[in-house]
Amino acid sequence: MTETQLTERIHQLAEELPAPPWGVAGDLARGRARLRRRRTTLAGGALALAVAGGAAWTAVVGDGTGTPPVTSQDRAPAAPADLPADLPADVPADLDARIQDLAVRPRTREEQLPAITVRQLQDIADVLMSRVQGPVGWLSVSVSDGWRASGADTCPQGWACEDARVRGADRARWAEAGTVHQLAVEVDGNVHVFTLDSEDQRPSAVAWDDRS
Amino acid sequence: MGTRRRDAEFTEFVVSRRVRLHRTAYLMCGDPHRAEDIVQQALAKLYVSWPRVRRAESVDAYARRSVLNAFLDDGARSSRREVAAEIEDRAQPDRLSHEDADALWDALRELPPGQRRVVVLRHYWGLSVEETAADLGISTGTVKSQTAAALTRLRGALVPADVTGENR
Repeated sequence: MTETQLTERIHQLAEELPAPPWGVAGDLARGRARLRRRRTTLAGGALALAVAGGAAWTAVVGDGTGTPPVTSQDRAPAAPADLPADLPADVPADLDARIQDLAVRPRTREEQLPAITVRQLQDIADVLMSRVQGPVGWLSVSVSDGWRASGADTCPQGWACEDARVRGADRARWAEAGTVHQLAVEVDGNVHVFTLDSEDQRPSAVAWDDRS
Repeated sequence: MGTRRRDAEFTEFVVSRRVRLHRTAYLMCGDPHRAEDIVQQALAKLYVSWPRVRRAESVDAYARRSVLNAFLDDGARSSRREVAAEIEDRAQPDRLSHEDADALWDALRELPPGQRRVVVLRHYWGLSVEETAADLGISTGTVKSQTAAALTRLRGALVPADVTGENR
């Protein structure tokens, strides 16, 4: 077989490949969502750096109002619980208040994501209730950056997985093992993973965990 | 770059290239669903990088690389083979028979990922040795050696149609 023949055959083979239905709108939505998340991450990181830098500057030279620099003795024993997780541990105790004053508190990743509509949530609830029997002791929701990142394209050993239908979703998949159930739902490029367990504690193992 | 312009240019690219990118991913992994995932991810990355990519380099090359790298990143997973069953019956003489398609898929699947990648770029995208090397960030010598090795394997696996006259 010559190179020319190989080229010809590969083209013939490729021409026959079935292509799934697609629309530019879906690609645009996924691209915009990814761009939004990236900008949020960058802005959050820059803000954290700026705030930490400002705090360090204030700690060293004071804030220019005559207030003495913050020392380690002045600090509260722990930072407020709702500070961004990526801030240094030794930030001043009133940093959260300063951020609030500036009205620039960074929003969490979930806050930045497009919300699921009430209608979609109702449809998701219908699917969950139709499949999970008995009481639910644990429910958590995570959001992943795409289908593969959520892990929903896999089915770990010991889990039973199958495609599910959720109205208004681009696709959905169900996983089940013992008392743990998971439903992955892709909407506008974001994958929401609902984890339910009849036990009232976080499941020790799940099929899909955000890999992004 | 404004959002409208980015969207318009990106849309134009997707319309003209998406099918080809999907086929590229499909040829690499042999699984239409996985191929679709790979293409979706590649296009989302492309959208984010659009201003830089369109200024600095070939958009085609970036998209191709994203698809191929996504496949390699995912290389540990076994590729499923769902193609032959989904290919429609063919009656036209210039199309591959089921047997030929099966044989070619089997042969492609047996190639190491690196060789398959080179084969797809050279024989599906029609890139030269130099273009393939630039696309993949490897030397032209590596492209040549991988192409030769792939051809040897494929020759061994495929019955030469022009000799037997049975496979076409």
